[in-house]
Amino acid sequence: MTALGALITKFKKIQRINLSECLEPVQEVLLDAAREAFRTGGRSNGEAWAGYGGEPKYAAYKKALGASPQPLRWVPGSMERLYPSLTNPRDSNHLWRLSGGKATFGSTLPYIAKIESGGVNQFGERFPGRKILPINQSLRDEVVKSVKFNFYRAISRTSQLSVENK
Amino acid sequence: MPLIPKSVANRRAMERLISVLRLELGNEVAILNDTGNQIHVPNPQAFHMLATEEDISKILQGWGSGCFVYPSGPTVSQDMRTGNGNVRGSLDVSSYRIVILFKSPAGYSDVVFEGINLARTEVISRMADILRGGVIEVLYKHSVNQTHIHEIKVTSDLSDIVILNNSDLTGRAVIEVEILQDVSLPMSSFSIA
Repeated sequence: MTALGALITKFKKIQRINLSECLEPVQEVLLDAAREAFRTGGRSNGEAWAGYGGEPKYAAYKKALGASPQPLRWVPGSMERLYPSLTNPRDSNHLWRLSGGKATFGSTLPYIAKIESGGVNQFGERFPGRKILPINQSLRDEVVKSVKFNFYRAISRTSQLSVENK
Repeated sequence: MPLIPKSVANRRAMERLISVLRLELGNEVAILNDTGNQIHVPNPQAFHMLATEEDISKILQGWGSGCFVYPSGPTVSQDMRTGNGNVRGSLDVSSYRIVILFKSPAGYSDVVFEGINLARTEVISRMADILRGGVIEVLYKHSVNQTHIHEIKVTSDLSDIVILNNSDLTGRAVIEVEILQDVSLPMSSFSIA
């Protein structure tokens, strides 16, 4: 037996890393990104959402209902579904799905895709796309950082080899 | 048991590994390829050939030394065992602190690393698993100025295997984050020892 052979007294078997576990914290990163997008009117994503200049009927409609004049917001805390669906993980319309090494974040509201792509509103006015969930370098870096941190943590938890000197 | 990268097909993995090692360890790494030649690195001066069996024993006994071994073929193992050929070097192991060991199919590792063979097997198996996830590095580390190996650590820069997409298959506006399960490393290049 080599000298080293005598040193090993304990060995914790290395286990597989749970990739879903590594992705879990990404949800909070994306929630924060969405919150910031709403807070800055899209500027945090690199491009401010267009105002309602080209949608006077829709703007008047929101005003009549007492809604926020801010694009994509309605009445905070009550009459709105889009904002909580992307910023509140407990909202019934929030989408967060983990499957193996893949996570999906978004809203289950069907009209969010139209909001992002642009289209025609209920008054026949064309509205521009307002990107809520764009992927930019900053977001990518944050996501990778989050995954990396959890990967390291999982590794350190599962791949310890203990060797003691007798 | 899945095995270690062996050839040019895995150069990307090795390059990434090297870059991370250099980032984390500076010049405290020695690297060999499976023919006993030093792996090409941008700054060859930063790396050294692994020396003799005696040196490895010293490393493993915790002389505050370290090296990176990539012997996946019998040639290099024989060279290492006999001290002949390219593998033999004048490495001052005392200046290294990280050991990375890949399994050799020949008997060398079983002789020298008898006591930790099981551990190494697990590490290699683990590494192959991780490679499938795109993560490359296995660090076999022991502490400086202490007399025991205390840690196996796996690290990686995940930036090129974490993929973000902006819509799912149904066309919904979502963000998908995916840890790639199968990077471009061809698994067919892995063999069984």
